[in-house]
Amino acid sequence: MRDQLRVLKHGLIASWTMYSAFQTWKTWTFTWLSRLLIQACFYALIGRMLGSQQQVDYLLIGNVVAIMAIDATVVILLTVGERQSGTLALMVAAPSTHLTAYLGRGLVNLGSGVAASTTAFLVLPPLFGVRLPWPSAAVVPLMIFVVGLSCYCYGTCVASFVLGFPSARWLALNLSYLVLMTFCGVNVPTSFWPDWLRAVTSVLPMTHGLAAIRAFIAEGQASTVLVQLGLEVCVGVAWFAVAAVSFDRMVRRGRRDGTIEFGG
Amino acid sequence: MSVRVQNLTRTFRKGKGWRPKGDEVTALDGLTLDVPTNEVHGLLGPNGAGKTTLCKILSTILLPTSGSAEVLGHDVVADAAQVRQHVGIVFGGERGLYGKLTARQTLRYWASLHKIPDARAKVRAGELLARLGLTDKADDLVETFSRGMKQRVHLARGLIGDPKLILFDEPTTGMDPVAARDFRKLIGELRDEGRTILITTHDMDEAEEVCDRVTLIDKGRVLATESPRGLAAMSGLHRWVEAETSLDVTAIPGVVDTETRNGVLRVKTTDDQAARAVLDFLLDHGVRSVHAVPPRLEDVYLDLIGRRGMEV
Ligand SMILES: Nc1ncnc2c1ncn2[C@@H]1O[C@H](COP(=O)(O)OP(=O)(O)O)[C@@H](O)[C@H]1O
Ligand SMILES: [Mg+2]
Repeated sequence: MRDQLRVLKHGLIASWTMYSAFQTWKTWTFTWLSRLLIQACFYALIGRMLGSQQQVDYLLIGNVVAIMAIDATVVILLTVGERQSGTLALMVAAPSTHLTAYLGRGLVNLGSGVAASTTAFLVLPPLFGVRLPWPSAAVVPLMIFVVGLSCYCYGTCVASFVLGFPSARWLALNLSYLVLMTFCGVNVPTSFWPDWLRAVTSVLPMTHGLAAIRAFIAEGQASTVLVQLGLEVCVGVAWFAVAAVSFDRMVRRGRRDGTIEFGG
Repeated sequence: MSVRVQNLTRTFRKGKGWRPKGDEVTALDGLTLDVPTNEVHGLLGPNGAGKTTLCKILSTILLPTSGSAEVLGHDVVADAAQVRQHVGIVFGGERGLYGKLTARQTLRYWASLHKIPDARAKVRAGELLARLGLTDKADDLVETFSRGMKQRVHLARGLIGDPKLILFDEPTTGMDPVAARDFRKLIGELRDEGRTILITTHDMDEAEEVCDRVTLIDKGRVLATESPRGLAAMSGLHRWVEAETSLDVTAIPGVVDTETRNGVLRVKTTDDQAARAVLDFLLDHGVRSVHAVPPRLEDVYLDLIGRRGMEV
Protein backbone atom coordinates (compact mmCIF):
# COMPACT_ATOMS: atom_id res chain seq x y z
CA MET A 1 0.00 0.00 0.00
CA ARG A 2 2.79 2.44 0.86
CA ASP A 3 4.52 1.45 -2.34
CA GLN A 4 1.36 2.27 -4.28
CA LEU A 5 0.92 5.62 -2.56
CA ARG A 6 4.50 6.49 -3.42
CA VAL A 7 3.90 5.66 -7.08
CA LEU A 8 0.79 7.84 -6.94
CA LYS A 9 2.80 10.68 -5.42
CA HIS A 10 5.62 10.54 -7.94
CA GLY A 11 3.18 10.07 -10.80
CA LEU A 12 1.43 13.20 -9.57
CA ILE A 13 4.71 15.14 -9.34
CA ALA A 14 5.69 13.99 -12.82
CA SER A 15 2.35 14.86 -14.34
CA TRP A 16 2.35 18.24 -12.61
CA THR A 17 5.78 18.94 -14.11
CA MET A 18 4.65 17.88 -17.57
CA TYR A 19 1.35 19.74 -17.28
CA SER A 20 2.99 22.96 -16.16
CA ALA A 21 5.40 22.72 -19.08
CA PHE A 22 2.38 23.25 -21.35
CA GLN A 23 0.15 25.39 -19.17
CA THR A 24 0.91 28.34 -16.95
CA TRP A 25 -1.67 29.93 -14.67
CA LYS A 26 -2.25 32.52 -17.34
CA THR A 27 -2.70 30.16 -20.27
CA TRP A 28 -4.89 27.90 -18.15
CA THR A 29 -7.13 30.79 -17.16
CA PHE A 30 -7.35 32.45 -20.55
CA THR A 31 -7.61 29.41 -22.76
CA TRP A 32 -8.86 26.40 -20.86
CA LEU A 33 -10.92 27.89 -18.03
CA SER A 34 -12.52 30.53 -20.21
CA ARG A 35 -13.40 27.94 -22.82
CA LEU A 36 -15.17 25.85 -20.17
CA LEU A 37 -16.93 28.85 -18.65
CA ILE A 38 -18.20 29.87 -22.08
CA GLN A 39 -19.52 26.36 -22.59
CA ALA A 40 -21.48 26.51 -19.33
CA CYS A 41 -22.76 30.02 -20.21
CA PHE A 42 -23.86 28.82 -23.62
CA TYR A 43 -26.19 26.23 -22.13
CA ALA A 44 -27.44 28.67 -19.50
CA LEU A 45 -28.29 31.12 -22.30
CA ILE A 46 -30.30 28.45 -24.02
CA GLY A 47 -32.25 28.20 -20.77
CA ARG A 48 -32.79 31.93 -20.84
CA MET A 49 -34.02 31.72 -24.43
CA LEU A 50 -36.50 29.08 -23.35
CA GLY A 51 -37.77 31.81 -21.07
CA SER A 52 -37.86 30.20 -17.66
CA GLN A 53 -35.53 30.75 -14.70
CA GLN A 54 -36.13 27.11 -13.78
CA GLN A 55 -34.54 26.06 -17.08
CA VAL A 56 -31.64 28.43 -16.49
CA ASP A 57 -31.08 26.95 -13.01
CA TYR A 58 -31.19 23.41 -14.35
CA LEU A 59 -28.89 23.95 -17.31
CA LEU A 60 -26.37 26.11 -15.51
CA ILE A 61 -25.87 23.77 -12.55
CA GLY A 62 -25.73 20.74 -14.83
CA ASN A 63 -23.08 22.30 -17.04
CA VAL A 64 -21.07 23.79 -14.22
CA VAL A 65 -20.55 20.24 -12.97
CA ALA A 66 -20.22 18.67 -16.42
CA ILE A 67 -17.34 20.84 -17.63
CA MET A 68 -15.13 18.99 -15.16
CA ALA A 69 -15.70 15.73 -17.02
CA ILE A 70 -13.53 16.64 -20.01
CA ASP A 71 -10.48 16.99 -17.80
CA ALA A 72 -11.40 13.96 -15.74
CA THR A 73 -11.49 11.74 -18.81
CA VAL A 74 -8.29 13.08 -20.41
CA VAL A 75 -6.60 10.19 -18.64
CA ILE A 76 -7.75 8.20 -21.70
CA LEU A 77 -5.11 9.97 -23.79
CA LEU A 78 -2.32 9.34 -21.31
CA THR A 79 -2.18 5.60 -21.85
CA VAL A 80 -1.46 6.22 -25.51
CA GLY A 81 1.03 8.88 -24.46
CA GLU A 82 3.02 6.11 -22.75
CA ARG A 83 3.22 4.27 -26.03
CA GLN A 84 4.29 7.42 -27.81
CA SER A 85 7.05 8.20 -25.35
CA GLY A 86 8.19 4.58 -25.46
CA THR A 87 7.75 4.08 -21.73
CA LEU A 88 4.96 1.51 -21.76
CA ALA A 89 7.34 -1.46 -21.80
CA LEU A 90 9.34 0.01 -18.93
CA MET A 91 6.17 0.55 -16.96
CA VAL A 92 4.98 -3.00 -17.50
CA ALA A 93 8.41 -4.39 -16.63
CA ALA A 94 8.63 -2.37 -13.41
CA PRO A 95 7.72 -4.19 -10.20
CA SER A 96 4.88 -1.83 -9.32
CA THR A 97 1.36 -2.02 -10.77
CA HIS A 98 0.98 0.01 -13.92
CA LEU A 99 -2.58 0.95 -12.96
CA THR A 100 -1.33 3.04 -10.05
CA ALA A 101 1.17 4.76 -12.28
CA TYR A 102 -1.55 5.75 -14.73
CA LEU A 103 -3.81 6.91 -11.94
CA GLY A 104 -1.08 9.21 -10.71
CA ARG A 105 -0.45 10.53 -14.18
CA GLY A 106 -3.95 11.89 -14.78
CA LEU A 107 -4.58 13.44 -11.35
CA VAL A 108 -3.43 16.89 -12.40
CA ASN A 109 -6.04 16.96 -15.14
CA LEU A 110 -8.65 15.92 -12.61
CA GLY A 111 -7.50 18.80 -10.40
CA SER A 112 -7.81 21.17 -13.34
CA GLY A 113 -11.36 19.99 -13.99
CA VAL A 114 -12.46 20.32 -10.38
CA ALA A 115 -10.86 23.78 -10.21
CA ALA A 116 -12.69 24.83 -13.38
CA SER A 117 -16.05 23.55 -12.14
CA THR A 118 -15.54 25.19 -8.77
CA THR A 119 -14.67 28.51 -10.38
CA ALA A 120 -17.74 28.22 -12.57
CA PHE A 121 -19.84 27.46 -9.51
CA LEU A 122 -18.59 30.57 -7.73
CA VAL A 123 -18.70 32.96 -10.69
CA LEU A 124 -21.60 32.05 -12.95
CA PRO A 125 -24.74 31.65 -10.79
CA PRO A 126 -24.94 35.39 -9.87
CA LEU A 127 -24.63 36.30 -13.57
CA PHE A 128 -27.63 34.18 -14.44
CA GLY A 129 -29.71 34.93 -11.39
CA VAL A 130 -29.33 31.43 -10.00
CA ARG A 131 -29.88 31.52 -6.22
CA LEU A 132 -27.66 29.36 -4.05
CA PRO A 133 -28.14 28.49 -0.37
CA TRP A 134 -25.06 30.27 1.02
CA PRO A 135 -23.11 29.62 3.20
CA SER A 136 -23.92 25.91 3.07
CA ALA A 137 -23.37 25.97 -0.74
CA ALA A 138 -19.65 26.00 0.13
CA VAL A 139 -19.72 22.20 0.39
CA VAL A 140 -20.76 21.86 -3.27
CA PRO A 141 -17.13 21.95 -4.52
CA LEU A 142 -16.49 18.92 -2.33
CA MET A 143 -19.38 17.15 -3.99
CA ILE A 144 -17.98 18.18 -7.37
CA PHE A 145 -14.72 16.58 -6.30
CA VAL A 146 -16.51 13.31 -5.51
CA VAL A 147 -18.15 13.37 -8.94
CA GLY A 148 -14.73 14.13 -10.43
CA LEU A 149 -13.21 11.09 -8.79
CA SER A 150 -15.87 8.78 -10.11
CA CYS A 151 -15.59 10.29 -13.62
CA TYR A 152 -11.86 9.73 -13.32
CA CYS A 153 -12.36 6.05 -12.51
CA TYR A 154 -14.68 5.81 -15.49
CA GLY A 155 -12.03 7.46 -17.68
CA THR A 156 -9.37 5.07 -16.40
CA CYS A 157 -11.59 2.16 -17.29
CA VAL A 158 -12.04 3.43 -20.85
CA ALA A 159 -8.28 4.09 -20.94
CA SER A 160 -7.59 0.46 -20.20
CA PHE A 161 -9.47 -0.53 -23.34
CA VAL A 162 -7.80 2.16 -25.39
CA LEU A 163 -4.48 0.62 -24.37
CA GLY A 164 -5.38 -2.19 -26.76
CA PHE A 165 -6.69 0.14 -29.48
CA PRO A 166 -4.42 3.18 -29.44
CA SER A 167 -5.82 4.62 -32.65
CA ALA A 168 -9.26 4.90 -31.07
CA ARG A 169 -8.12 7.30 -28.35
CA TRP A 170 -9.74 10.52 -29.55
CA LEU A 171 -12.95 8.78 -30.48
CA ALA A 172 -12.98 7.12 -27.07
CA LEU A 173 -12.37 10.40 -25.26
CA ASN A 174 -15.06 12.28 -27.13
CA LEU A 175 -17.57 9.49 -26.85
CA SER A 176 -16.96 8.98 -23.14
CA TYR A 177 -17.46 12.64 -22.50
CA LEU A 178 -20.48 12.98 -24.76
CA VAL A 179 -22.17 10.03 -23.10
CA LEU A 180 -21.87 11.81 -19.75
CA MET A 181 -23.08 15.12 -21.21
CA THR A 182 -26.07 13.51 -22.86
CA PHE A 183 -27.38 10.89 -20.50
CA CYS A 184 -26.42 11.85 -16.96
CA GLY A 185 -28.96 14.57 -16.31
CA VAL A 186 -26.84 17.53 -17.38
CA ASN A 187 -29.18 19.12 -19.92
CA VAL A 188 -32.09 16.73 -19.89
CA PRO A 189 -33.44 15.06 -16.73
CA THR A 190 -32.74 11.31 -16.70
CA SER A 191 -36.50 10.77 -16.42
CA PHE A 192 -36.69 11.85 -20.06
CA TRP A 193 -35.07 8.59 -21.18
CA PRO A 194 -36.82 5.23 -21.63
CA ASP A 195 -36.53 2.86 -18.67
CA TRP A 196 -33.74 0.71 -20.03
CA LEU A 197 -31.62 3.75 -20.80
CA ARG A 198 -32.30 5.14 -17.35
CA ALA A 199 -30.94 1.91 -15.95
CA VAL A 200 -27.77 2.52 -17.91
CA THR A 201 -27.49 6.12 -16.72
CA SER A 202 -27.65 4.97 -13.13
CA VAL A 203 -24.35 3.14 -13.51
CA LEU A 204 -22.65 6.09 -15.22
CA PRO A 205 -20.65 8.51 -13.12
CA MET A 206 -22.10 12.00 -12.58
CA THR A 207 -25.78 10.90 -12.67
CA HIS A 208 -26.11 10.42 -8.90
CA GLY A 209 -23.60 13.05 -7.90
CA LEU A 210 -25.33 15.68 -9.99
CA ALA A 211 -28.68 14.61 -8.56
CA ALA A 212 -27.20 15.05 -5.09
CA ILE A 213 -25.90 18.53 -5.93
CA ARG A 214 -29.25 19.56 -7.40
CA ALA A 215 -31.12 18.25 -4.37
CA PHE A 216 -28.70 20.03 -2.05
CA ILE A 217 -29.04 23.37 -3.85
CA ALA A 218 -32.82 23.02 -3.85
CA GLU A 219 -32.50 22.44 -0.10
CA GLY A 220 -34.05 19.01 -0.48
CA GLN A 221 -33.91 16.27 2.12
CA ALA A 222 -30.48 15.52 3.55
CA SER A 223 -31.14 11.80 3.16
CA THR A 224 -31.70 12.17 -0.61
CA VAL A 225 -28.44 14.07 -0.93
CA LEU A 226 -26.50 11.51 1.07
CA VAL A 227 -28.00 8.50 -0.70
CA GLN A 228 -27.25 9.95 -4.12
CA LEU A 229 -23.75 10.90 -3.09
CA GLY A 230 -23.22 7.39 -1.71
CA LEU A 231 -24.43 5.91 -4.98
CA GLU A 232 -21.99 8.13 -6.86
CA VAL A 233 -19.14 6.77 -4.75
CA CYS A 234 -20.31 3.19 -5.39
CA VAL A 235 -20.44 3.83 -9.13
CA GLY A 236 -16.90 5.22 -9.01
CA VAL A 237 -15.63 2.21 -7.07
CA ALA A 238 -17.30 -0.14 -9.54
CA TRP A 239 -15.68 1.57 -12.52
CA PHE A 240 -12.38 1.43 -10.72
CA ALA A 241 -12.74 -2.30 -10.15
CA VAL A 242 -13.55 -2.89 -13.80
CA ALA A 243 -10.59 -0.69 -14.77
CA ALA A 244 -8.23 -2.74 -12.61
CA VAL A 245 -9.37 -6.03 -14.13
CA SER A 246 -9.36 -4.70 -17.65
CA PHE A 247 -5.93 -3.06 -17.32
CA ASP A 248 -4.57 -6.37 -16.24
CA ARG A 249 -6.20 -8.14 -19.16
CA MET A 250 -4.99 -5.60 -21.68
CA VAL A 251 -1.41 -5.86 -20.47
CA ARG A 252 -1.67 -9.63 -20.55
CA ARG A 253 -2.97 -9.44 -24.07
CA GLY A 254 -0.13 -7.10 -25.06
CA ARG A 255 2.38 -9.56 -23.63
CA ARG A 256 0.72 -12.38 -25.49
CA ASP A 257 0.55 -10.83 -28.93
CA GLY A 258 3.72 -8.77 -28.70
CA THR A 259 2.34 -5.26 -28.91
CA ILE A 260 4.41 -3.92 -26.03
CA GLU A 261 7.58 -2.71 -27.72
CA PHE A 262 10.89 -1.58 -26.33
CA GLY A 263 10.72 2.10 -27.03
CA GLY A 264 7.18 1.92 -28.39
CA MET B 1 22.59 -19.47 -12.95
CA SER B 2 21.14 -16.03 -13.65
CA VAL B 3 19.41 -16.83 -16.90
CA ARG B 4 18.23 -20.26 -17.93
CA VAL B 5 16.44 -20.49 -21.23
CA GLN B 6 15.23 -23.84 -22.47
CA ASN B 7 13.82 -24.63 -25.85
CA LEU B 8 12.30 -21.18 -26.05
CA THR B 9 10.04 -20.53 -29.01
CA ARG B 10 8.14 -17.43 -29.91
CA THR B 11 6.06 -16.90 -33.01
CA PHE B 12 4.22 -13.83 -34.22
CA ARG B 13 1.38 -13.44 -36.58
CA LYS B 14 1.86 -10.69 -39.13
CA GLY B 15 -0.89 -8.20 -39.77
CA LYS B 16 -2.95 -5.67 -37.88
CA GLY B 17 -5.96 -5.67 -35.65
CA TRP B 18 -7.31 -7.70 -32.79
CA ARG B 19 -6.65 -11.06 -34.44
CA PRO B 20 -4.00 -10.70 -37.15
CA LYS B 21 -4.45 -13.19 -39.95
CA GLY B 22 -1.09 -12.91 -41.71
CA ASP B 23 1.75 -15.40 -41.99
CA GLU B 24 3.37 -16.78 -38.89
CA VAL B 25 6.91 -15.55 -38.22
CA THR B 26 9.20 -17.52 -35.96
CA ALA B 27 11.34 -15.11 -33.95
CA LEU B 28 12.77 -17.69 -31.56
CA ASP B 29 13.03 -21.29 -32.61
CA GLY B 30 13.82 -23.63 -29.73
CA LEU B 31 16.52 -21.41 -28.25
CA THR B 32 18.49 -22.78 -25.30
CA LEU B 33 20.92 -20.63 -23.35
CA ASP B 34 22.42 -20.47 -19.87
CA VAL B 35 24.04 -17.36 -18.48
CA PRO B 36 25.85 -17.93 -15.18
CA THR B 37 25.68 -15.30 -12.46
CA ASN B 38 28.14 -12.45 -12.83
CA GLU B 39 28.84 -13.11 -16.50
CA VAL B 40 28.83 -10.49 -19.22
CA HIS B 41 27.15 -12.30 -22.05
CA GLY B 42 26.87 -10.98 -25.58
CA LEU B 43 24.07 -11.81 -27.99
CA LEU B 44 25.26 -11.39 -31.54
CA GLY B 45 23.23 -11.87 -34.66
CA PRO B 46 21.92 -10.12 -37.73
CA ASN B 47 18.79 -7.99 -37.76
CA GLY B 48 15.75 -10.14 -37.17
CA ALA B 49 17.75 -12.90 -35.46
CA GLY B 50 15.51 -12.74 -32.38
CA LYS B 51 17.77 -10.86 -29.96
CA THR B 52 15.21 -8.27 -28.95
CA THR B 53 12.53 -10.92 -28.68
CA LEU B 54 14.66 -12.80 -26.15
CA CYS B 55 15.28 -9.62 -24.14
CA LYS B 56 11.56 -8.89 -24.12
CA ILE B 57 10.71 -12.33 -22.83
CA LEU B 58 13.33 -12.08 -20.10
CA SER B 59 11.95 -8.70 -19.05
CA THR B 60 8.39 -10.16 -18.86
CA ILE B 61 6.84 -7.83 -21.41
CA LEU B 62 6.41 -10.68 -23.88
CA LEU B 63 5.16 -14.20 -23.26
CA PRO B 64 6.88 -17.20 -24.86
CA THR B 65 4.92 -19.38 -27.26
CA SER B 66 6.54 -22.48 -25.77
CA GLY B 67 9.60 -23.48 -23.80
CA SER B 68 10.73 -21.87 -20.57
CA ALA B 69 12.87 -19.00 -19.35
CA GLU B 70 14.03 -18.38 -15.81
CA VAL B 71 15.70 -15.35 -14.31
CA LEU B 72 17.47 -16.04 -11.00
CA GLY B 73 15.37 -19.14 -10.64
CA HIS B 74 12.06 -17.37 -11.21
CA ASP B 75 9.95 -18.32 -14.20
CA VAL B 76 9.23 -15.34 -16.45
CA VAL B 77 5.60 -16.38 -16.87
CA ALA B 78 4.60 -17.87 -13.53
CA ASP B 79 6.72 -15.58 -11.30
CA ALA B 80 6.79 -12.43 -13.44
CA ALA B 81 6.48 -10.27 -10.33
CA GLN B 82 9.66 -11.79 -8.86
CA VAL B 83 11.52 -11.44 -12.12
CA ARG B 84 10.61 -7.75 -12.38
CA GLN B 85 12.25 -7.05 -9.02
CA HIS B 86 15.62 -8.12 -10.34
CA VAL B 87 15.81 -7.08 -13.97
CA GLY B 88 16.94 -3.72 -15.36
CA ILE B 89 16.32 -2.78 -19.00
CA VAL B 90 18.30 -0.40 -21.17
CA PHE B 91 17.62 -0.02 -24.86
CA GLY B 92 19.35 2.20 -27.39
CA GLY B 93 17.92 5.27 -29.06
CA GLU B 94 16.15 8.24 -27.58
CA ARG B 95 12.80 6.75 -26.72
CA GLY B 96 11.64 5.67 -23.31
CA LEU B 97 12.17 9.06 -21.69
CA TYR B 98 9.82 11.84 -20.65
CA GLY B 99 11.25 14.97 -22.27
CA LYS B 100 9.54 17.32 -19.85
CA LEU B 101 11.09 15.79 -16.74
CA THR B 102 14.57 16.54 -15.47
CA ALA B 103 17.11 13.75 -15.19
CA ARG B 104 16.63 13.67 -11.44
CA GLN B 105 12.84 13.63 -11.66
CA THR B 106 13.07 10.80 -14.17
CA LEU B 107 15.07 8.71 -11.74
CA ARG B 108 12.81 9.54 -8.79
CA TYR B 109 9.73 8.59 -10.82
CA TRP B 110 11.16 5.23 -11.87
CA ALA B 111 12.47 4.61 -8.38
CA SER B 112 8.90 4.80 -7.10
CA LEU B 113 7.85 2.23 -9.70
CA HIS B 114 10.63 0.05 -8.34
CA LYS B 115 9.15 0.36 -4.84
CA ILE B 116 12.17 2.17 -3.46
CA PRO B 117 11.44 4.29 -0.36
CA ASP B 118 11.89 8.03 -0.93
CA ALA B 119 14.89 8.52 1.32
CA ARG B 120 16.82 5.75 -0.39
CA ALA B 121 15.65 6.81 -3.85
CA LYS B 122 16.99 10.30 -3.27
CA VAL B 123 20.44 9.02 -2.36
CA ARG B 124 20.49 6.46 -5.13
CA ALA B 125 19.41 8.95 -7.80
CA GLY B 126 22.20 11.30 -6.68
CA GLU B 127 24.76 8.49 -6.82
CA LEU B 128 23.72 7.33 -10.26
CA LEU B 129 23.70 10.85 -11.67
CA ALA B 130 27.23 11.34 -10.36
CA ARG B 131 28.35 7.99 -11.63
CA LEU B 132 27.11 8.75 -15.13
CA GLY B 133 28.50 12.26 -15.15
CA LEU B 134 25.11 13.95 -15.11
CA THR B 135 25.37 15.83 -11.83
CA ASP B 136 25.75 19.22 -13.53
CA LYS B 137 22.72 18.59 -15.71
CA ALA B 138 20.66 16.74 -13.13
CA ASP B 139 17.99 19.42 -12.94
CA ASP B 140 17.76 20.21 -16.65
CA LEU B 141 14.93 18.89 -18.79
CA VAL B 142 15.81 15.64 -20.54
CA GLU B 143 14.52 17.02 -23.85
CA THR B 144 17.38 19.55 -23.86
CA PHE B 145 19.98 16.77 -23.62
CA SER B 146 22.26 15.57 -26.38
CA ARG B 147 21.82 12.07 -27.63
CA GLY B 148 24.70 10.76 -25.57
CA MET B 149 23.35 12.36 -22.40
CA LYS B 150 19.92 10.89 -22.99
CA GLN B 151 21.62 7.55 -23.30
CA ARG B 152 23.20 8.08 -19.91
CA VAL B 153 19.84 8.93 -18.40
CA HIS B 154 18.64 5.63 -19.84
CA LEU B 155 21.52 3.82 -18.20
CA ALA B 156 20.85 5.47 -14.87
CA ARG B 157 17.17 4.59 -15.15
CA GLY B 158 18.02 0.98 -15.91
CA LEU B 159 20.16 0.82 -12.77
CA ILE B 160 17.79 2.58 -10.38
CA GLY B 161 16.21 -0.64 -9.17
CA ASP B 162 19.62 -2.13 -8.29
CA PRO B 163 19.04 -4.99 -10.76
CA LYS B 164 20.89 -8.28 -10.50
CA LEU B 165 20.40 -8.90 -14.21
CA ILE B 166 20.71 -6.07 -16.70
CA LEU B 167 19.42 -6.45 -20.24
CA PHE B 168 21.07 -4.12 -22.74
CA ASP B 169 19.40 -4.13 -26.14
CA GLU B 170 21.81 -2.44 -28.54
CA PRO B 171 22.77 0.15 -25.98
CA THR B 172 25.53 1.76 -28.02
CA THR B 173 23.40 2.49 -31.09
CA GLY B 174 24.22 6.08 -31.95
CA MET B 175 26.78 6.57 -29.19
CA ASP B 176 29.89 8.54 -30.08
CA PRO B 177 33.26 6.77 -29.58
CA VAL B 178 33.99 8.48 -26.26
CA ALA B 179 30.59 7.55 -24.89
CA ALA B 180 31.07 4.01 -26.16
CA ARG B 181 34.40 3.77 -24.34
CA ASP B 182 32.83 5.04 -21.11
CA PHE B 183 30.07 2.53 -21.61
CA ARG B 184 32.53 -0.36 -21.82
CA LYS B 185 34.13 0.83 -18.61
CA LEU B 186 30.73 0.94 -16.95
CA ILE B 187 30.01 -2.63 -18.01
CA GLY B 188 33.24 -3.71 -16.30
CA GLU B 189 32.23 -1.91 -13.10
CA LEU B 190 28.79 -3.46 -13.14
CA ARG B 191 30.34 -6.89 -13.38
CA ASP B 192 32.65 -6.08 -10.49
CA GLU B 193 29.54 -5.32 -8.47
CA GLY B 194 28.39 -8.88 -9.04
CA ARG B 195 25.67 -8.18 -11.58
CA THR B 196 24.93 -10.34 -14.59
CA ILE B 197 24.75 -8.63 -17.95
CA LEU B 198 23.12 -9.71 -21.17
CA ILE B 199 23.96 -7.40 -24.02
CA THR B 200 22.83 -7.48 -27.63
CA THR B 201 25.03 -5.65 -30.04
CA HIS B 202 26.10 -5.31 -33.64
CA ASP B 203 29.51 -4.11 -32.59
CA MET B 204 31.92 -7.05 -32.72
CA ASP B 205 34.82 -5.11 -31.23
CA GLU B 206 32.65 -4.11 -28.34
CA ALA B 207 31.48 -7.69 -27.79
CA GLU B 208 35.03 -8.94 -27.95
CA GLU B 209 36.19 -6.38 -25.44
CA VAL B 210 33.46 -6.58 -22.80
CA CYS B 211 31.95 -10.05 -23.03
CA ASP B 212 33.03 -13.11 -21.09
CA ARG B 213 31.09 -15.24 -23.51
CA VAL B 214 29.07 -14.57 -26.60
CA THR B 215 26.22 -16.41 -28.26
CA LEU B 216 25.76 -16.17 -31.97
CA ILE B 217 22.12 -16.41 -32.92
CA ASP B 218 20.50 -16.50 -36.30
CA LYS B 219 16.88 -17.15 -37.24
CA GLY B 220 15.99 -17.66 -33.60
CA ARG B 221 18.52 -20.44 -33.08
CA VAL B 222 21.85 -20.59 -31.29
CA LEU B 223 24.74 -21.15 -33.66
CA ALA B 224 27.41 -21.16 -30.98
CA THR B 225 28.10 -20.09 -27.41
CA GLU B 226 31.75 -19.51 -26.57
CA SER B 227 34.26 -17.08 -25.16
CA PRO B 228 35.22 -14.54 -27.84
CA ARG B 229 38.62 -16.26 -28.11
CA GLY B 230 37.15 -19.73 -28.26
CA LEU B 231 34.69 -18.63 -30.88
CA ALA B 232 37.48 -17.12 -32.89
CA ALA B 233 39.23 -20.48 -32.83
CA MET B 234 36.11 -21.95 -34.42
CA SER B 235 36.82 -20.25 -37.66
CA GLY B 236 38.83 -23.29 -38.68
CA LEU B 237 42.06 -23.03 -40.58
CA HIS B 238 41.68 -19.46 -41.78
CA ARG B 239 44.58 -17.19 -40.99
CA TRP B 240 44.72 -13.43 -41.08
CA VAL B 241 47.46 -10.98 -41.97
CA GLU B 242 47.43 -7.27 -41.19
CA ALA B 243 49.67 -4.62 -42.75
CA GLU B 244 49.80 -0.88 -43.23
CA THR B 245 49.75 -0.78 -46.99
CA SER B 246 47.58 -0.12 -49.97
CA LEU B 247 49.10 -2.89 -52.09
CA ASP B 248 46.73 -5.27 -53.88
CA VAL B 249 47.24 -8.87 -52.70
CA THR B 250 44.05 -10.43 -54.08
CA ALA B 251 45.98 -12.22 -56.86
CA ILE B 252 48.02 -14.32 -54.39
CA PRO B 253 46.70 -17.89 -54.24
CA GLY B 254 44.87 -18.68 -50.99
CA VAL B 255 43.62 -15.13 -50.35
CA VAL B 256 39.92 -15.34 -49.54
CA ASP B 257 39.06 -11.76 -48.71
CA THR B 258 40.64 -8.39 -48.10
CA GLU B 259 39.44 -5.33 -46.28
CA THR B 260 41.01 -1.97 -45.55
CA ARG B 261 40.05 -0.05 -42.43
CA ASN B 262 41.83 3.08 -41.17
CA GLY B 263 44.67 2.46 -43.57
CA VAL B 264 45.22 -1.08 -42.31
CA LEU B 265 44.85 -3.87 -44.83
CA ARG B 266 43.39 -7.07 -43.44
CA VAL B 267 43.78 -10.23 -45.49
CA LYS B 268 41.91 -13.45 -44.90
CA THR B 269 43.71 -16.55 -46.19
CA THR B 270 42.80 -20.20 -46.42
CA ASP B 271 45.61 -21.61 -44.24
CA ASP B 272 49.11 -21.17 -42.78
CA GLN B 273 50.82 -21.58 -46.10
CA ALA B 274 48.75 -18.93 -47.83
CA ALA B 275 49.29 -16.57 -44.91
CA ARG B 276 53.04 -17.05 -45.22
CA ALA B 277 52.84 -16.30 -48.94
CA VAL B 278 51.07 -13.01 -48.21
CA LEU B 279 53.61 -12.10 -45.51
CA ASP B 280 56.47 -12.80 -47.87
CA PHE B 281 54.88 -10.81 -50.67
CA LEU B 282 54.36 -7.78 -48.46
CA LEU B 283 57.85 -7.92 -46.95
CA ASP B 284 59.32 -8.23 -50.44
CA HIS B 285 57.52 -5.05 -51.40
CA GLY B 286 59.05 -3.16 -48.52
CA VAL B 287 56.02 -3.07 -46.25
CA ARG B 288 57.39 -2.84 -42.72
CA SER B 289 54.49 -3.28 -40.33
CA VAL B 290 53.21 -6.73 -41.18
CA HIS B 291 51.65 -9.17 -38.68
CA ALA B 292 49.98 -12.51 -38.71
CA VAL B 293 47.01 -11.91 -36.38
CA PRO B 294 44.49 -14.13 -34.62
CA PRO B 295 40.96 -14.02 -35.99
CA ARG B 296 38.63 -11.43 -34.55
CA LEU B 297 35.13 -12.21 -33.42
CA GLU B 298 33.88 -10.35 -36.45
CA ASP B 299 35.73 -12.76 -38.73
CA VAL B 300 34.02 -15.70 -37.13
CA TYR B 301 30.71 -13.97 -37.27
CA LEU B 302 31.15 -13.36 -40.95
CA ASP B 303 32.22 -16.95 -41.47
CA LEU B 304 29.17 -18.32 -39.71
CA ILE B 305 26.50 -15.87 -40.68
CA GLY B 306 27.85 -13.98 -43.66
CA ARG B 307 27.44 -10.31 -44.34
CA ARG B 308 23.67 -10.43 -43.90
CA GLY B 309 22.20 -7.83 -41.62
CA MET B 310 25.45 -6.22 -40.58
CA GLU B 311 24.11 -2.78 -41.39
CA VAL B 312 22.28 -1.24 -38.50
N1 LIG C 1 5.64 -7.74 -32.37
C1 LIG C 1 6.02 -8.42 -33.48
N2 LIG C 1 5.11 -8.73 -34.43
C2 LIG C 1 5.48 -9.43 -35.54
N3 LIG C 1 6.72 -9.85 -35.78
C3 LIG C 1 7.68 -9.57 -34.89
C4 LIG C 1 7.38 -8.84 -33.69
N4 LIG C 1 8.53 -8.71 -32.99
C5 LIG C 1 9.48 -9.32 -33.70
N5 LIG C 1 8.98 -9.85 -34.84
C6 LIG C 1 9.74 -10.61 -35.85
O1 LIG C 1 10.55 -11.54 -35.19
C7 LIG C 1 11.84 -11.61 -35.76
C8 LIG C 1 12.90 -11.32 -34.71
O2 LIG C 1 12.85 -9.96 -34.34
P1 LIG C 1 13.80 -9.30 -33.25
O3 LIG C 1 13.78 -10.13 -32.02
O4 LIG C 1 13.38 -7.89 -33.10
O5 LIG C 1 15.24 -9.39 -33.94
P2 LIG C 1 16.60 -8.64 -33.58
O6 LIG C 1 16.43 -7.88 -32.32
O7 LIG C 1 17.60 -9.75 -33.45
O8 LIG C 1 16.92 -7.76 -34.74
C9 LIG C 1 11.84 -10.63 -36.91
O9 LIG C 1 11.60 -11.36 -38.09
C10 LIG C 1 10.69 -9.71 -36.61
O10 LIG C 1 10.11 -9.25 -37.79
MG1 LIG D 1 16.68 -5.85 -31.97
